[in-house]
Amino acid sequence: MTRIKGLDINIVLVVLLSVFAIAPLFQPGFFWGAHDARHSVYFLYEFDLSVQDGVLYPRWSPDITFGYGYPLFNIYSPLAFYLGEALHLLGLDLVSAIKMVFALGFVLSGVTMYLFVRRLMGSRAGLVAGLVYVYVPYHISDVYVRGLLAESVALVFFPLILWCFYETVERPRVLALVGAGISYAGLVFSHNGLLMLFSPFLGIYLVFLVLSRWWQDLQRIPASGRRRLIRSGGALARRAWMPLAALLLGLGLSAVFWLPMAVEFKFVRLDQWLGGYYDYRDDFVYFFQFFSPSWGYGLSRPGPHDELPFQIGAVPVVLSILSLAVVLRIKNQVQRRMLVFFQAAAVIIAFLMLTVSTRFWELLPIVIFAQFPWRLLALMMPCVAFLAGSVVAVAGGKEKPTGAIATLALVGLVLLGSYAYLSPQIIEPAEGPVSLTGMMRFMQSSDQMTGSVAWTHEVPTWSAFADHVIGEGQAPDLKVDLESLPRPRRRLAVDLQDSSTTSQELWVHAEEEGRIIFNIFYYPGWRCYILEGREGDIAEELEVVPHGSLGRVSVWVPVGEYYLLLRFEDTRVRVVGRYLSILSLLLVLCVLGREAYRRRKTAG
Amino acid sequence: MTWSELPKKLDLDLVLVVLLSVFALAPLTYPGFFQSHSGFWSVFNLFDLESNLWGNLGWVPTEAAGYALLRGEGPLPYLLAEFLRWLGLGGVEAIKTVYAVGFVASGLGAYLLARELFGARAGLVAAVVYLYLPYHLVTVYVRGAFGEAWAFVLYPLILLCLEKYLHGGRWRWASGVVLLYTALGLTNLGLAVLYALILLAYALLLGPSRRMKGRSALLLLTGVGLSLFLQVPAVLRNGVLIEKGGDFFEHFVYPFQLLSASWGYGASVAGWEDTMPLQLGLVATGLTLLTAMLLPSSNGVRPALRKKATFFVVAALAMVLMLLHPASFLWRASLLSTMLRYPWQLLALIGLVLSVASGAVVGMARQLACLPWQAALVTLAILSSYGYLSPHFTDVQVGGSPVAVLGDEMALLAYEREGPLLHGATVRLTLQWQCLQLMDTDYTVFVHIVGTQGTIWGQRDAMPVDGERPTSSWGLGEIVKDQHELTIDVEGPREGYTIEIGVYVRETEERLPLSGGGTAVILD
Repeated sequence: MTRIKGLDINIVLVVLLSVFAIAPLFQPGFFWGAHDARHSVYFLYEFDLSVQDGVLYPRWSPDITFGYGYPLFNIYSPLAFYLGEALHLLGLDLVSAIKMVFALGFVLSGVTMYLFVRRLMGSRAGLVAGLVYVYVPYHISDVYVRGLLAESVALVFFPLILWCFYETVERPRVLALVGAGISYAGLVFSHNGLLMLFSPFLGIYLVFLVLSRWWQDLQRIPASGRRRLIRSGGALARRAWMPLAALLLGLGLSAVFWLPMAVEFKFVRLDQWLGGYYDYRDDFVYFFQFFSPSWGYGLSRPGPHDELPFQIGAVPVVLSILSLAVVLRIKNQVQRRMLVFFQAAAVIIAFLMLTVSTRFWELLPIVIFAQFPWRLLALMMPCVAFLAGSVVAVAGGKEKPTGAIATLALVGLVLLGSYAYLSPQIIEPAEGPVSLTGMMRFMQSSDQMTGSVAWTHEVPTWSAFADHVIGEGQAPDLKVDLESLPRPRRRLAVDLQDSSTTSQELWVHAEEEGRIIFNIFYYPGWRCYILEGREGDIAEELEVVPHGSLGRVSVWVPVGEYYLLLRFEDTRVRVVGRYLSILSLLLVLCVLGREAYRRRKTAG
Repeated sequence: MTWSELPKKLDLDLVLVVLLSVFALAPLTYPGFFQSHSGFWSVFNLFDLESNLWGNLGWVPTEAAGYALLRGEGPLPYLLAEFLRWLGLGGVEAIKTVYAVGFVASGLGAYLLARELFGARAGLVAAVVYLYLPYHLVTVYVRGAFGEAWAFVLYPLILLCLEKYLHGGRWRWASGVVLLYTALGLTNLGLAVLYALILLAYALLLGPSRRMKGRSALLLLTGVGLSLFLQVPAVLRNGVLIEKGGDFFEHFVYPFQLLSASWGYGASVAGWEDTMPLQLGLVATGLTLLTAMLLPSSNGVRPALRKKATFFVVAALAMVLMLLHPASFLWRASLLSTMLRYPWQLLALIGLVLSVASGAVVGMARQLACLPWQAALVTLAILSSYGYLSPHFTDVQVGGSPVAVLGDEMALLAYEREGPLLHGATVRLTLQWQCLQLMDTDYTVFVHIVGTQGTIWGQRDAMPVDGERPTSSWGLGEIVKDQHELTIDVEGPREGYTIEIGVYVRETEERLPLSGGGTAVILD
């Protein structure tokens, strides 16, 4: 079980043995009953509309909340939808594209976990860890019960980040720096909630790695007194600079997303996502639920009768417990340190999901993003996978034939332990096939995808736009609230000239000053101009202000006859974020180019 | 102490056994209780003991099951629970804690026994197999057999002391045998007597010398004698009641049931249609068979070790045969049928020998002693029982005793009333029934609201849950939530009402009597 002509057979095994996890994705139909299955499909529907409209980095979704629109991708990580869009453009329909992203998430997460654990514990350990990571019940529930596309993609990056940052401390080199930066940026682009949960974990991991490695370095510093102090400080700096630089690089690469998100998050209504069902106090896990074999497709509810499974998994737990035996038997100090770290992390993470940790949650603003304490099960995944792999780890510093058959037996048990959970509920969507009509019906029946902005005082439950979609089967081009125009119409008349997902161009005839109200939620970035003729240059900018209890876009227009352009643009912070990302990308390319050149030169 | 010294100082496997028992005891951390055949009766027995703790000499748990010298439960586990009550735990919590401690301690006992016999690696496997033995889980989560669950702790410890005594001859182990055996006698006397036969066989077949064999037999005799002596207060209080026969002979196990994967929470019935699992356990059976297969070919294995492994394999086979119907004459002739209510109770002892025999496979096949294999075996043992660890939970809050017991067939555990007892008012009554015996009759529940003069001013007669759950459909130990809504006649007096509840057969209008006399439960 090692390598065949440069090919690591274990990677192939991880990919092939993931087949049971991804097999349900290849059956006809879709698990529409999964909690966020529809969200995933319709988010991609919106993303596709924008991309087809020429917007390569979409921030505004025009049809969400009954057509009032929502800055979805300004505050929701877009990577999963880029992947889905790429597959869609290659010819897959939206649902198939979503399913393939789920499948990629499964397989790639197994591979990244394999690579991380192989680096530390050897390839057999990597194989077991990779498959535990794929088949851990929370992973299966994330996909088939909750239907969370973005979260399932984020799970690919956890092991990658742990691996690359490990390298920045243990073997600091340019590739490790770039890898760590890119993988962290990948997580930022994948899922905000998991980013906020994982980042403190990563911080503690890095402090642990740097300090433990520094402590090891200190043993080799012979000097004493002040000189020793200086040298030990230098040693600490040498170990710490690269992971910090990698973090900065990751933040730089992903600035196009996180910077506007951080600044402009306050402009959407948070109460819709924090109260009621999303109140974290109702979603702590009962101890027995971690170890319960019960499986369900329902929701998390207050009390111990949740219909959503919260089990860690029999096989991962048993192997994690047995990893205690490895700690005492293993000779390699680094391996032992890492084992102890992940054992402690698993215990602390489990503790944080229990009601007894309520006080801790109250102290942390992180609650905003986590929503549910049980979401920490995602952080539990890499811990138990690592620990499970360690059971077949090397002993005595070099790979010892501890039994390939035993490893395969464990692999079989890992698969067997989750096999029964791989039966998603394939049903037909009640709202009909994927379409704008279906989306409106879904929003109405579920009260989901109805996010609104900070200026919205009354969350809409229906709209004229939705009425039109249901009646005509397509969206109305004009998003102006004609009823609000002054009467008779000739005093202020408008005519649509052009429209897109992020703009409306109107011909305006105004005999007196007046207000034009658009059926679009106000949000920073909406700007309005008077043009010098159709598609002409900008002659004058008009002030855009939120209007009424819905917080719609409104513009006070002057007397005259002219063309008016309402457009969703990048704010200053979005521009800064974009340039930061471009600069970081250029830096990465330069560094990689230099590294390639250096290698070629060395080889030459 | 350094890292390298730590393994020498600490038997980590003991810690592993404790941690690995987490799946078995996790359901006990549910905030309520679980539904089992015995339901809340262990809690009621505990409160019965507590009602007159120091004047209760000779107390044995008699709530629900009644008194039976050999077949009934003993007081020991209740005394442990009472100690926890003294520490401040509630009744349900105390019972659940004893169950949890029982799980962990039984695993530790099995580990120590198998380690003594076949080495530490074998100990871990044996302990996990014993912990997750299907019958062990049945005893707790399906039957709610409080005493028998605690007996699982004592079986391996007694054998461990006997083994130590056989090969060391020290008095501390001898006293261990006697004391632990007496504890078993105070837990379940019938099973203790049966277990004495196995211990005797073990001592006679595996004792190193005739002298030790004789001494061991004497020890066991002392243990049995002491156990019987300690029953004297209970006998003086309740009389010598030895049940014979009953339907014991209708509950032999069919061979397929021993190997069946089916799981249920129902009862053992005459014939083969039991809905209670009677399986030996896939892993325990498989590993024991593997041990049996290794016996003839295990050349490198010490003869003493092979002899012990042979004993456990043969003992398992012999006891399994005793579960089958053809062995009924042996039970009858030997009067052993008076020891147990059902022959399948022997599964506890079979479980012990199967677990030790399962551990023996690691002792005999050295390849299996490496950590990955050990991990695979332990994982397999837990995984094979993992699906059985979803007991039926209940959130019913009970007092120190049931509100009423009706004809030993059903009990009213608790009730809740909404609405005032005033004329013209609507009263909603939620009744929590528990099935004590499987019933053939469909009883009708009556709820009367009675004035001070005895006039009925409100009445409702209906089968439980508006006829959706007739009593003949109730499972053994099942808790049924039954709601009734009725209005008090506005013509009646303003207040001063009581509620009368009972059940009757609709055809004959014959009411089921209450255990305390009368035919109707009177609520406030």
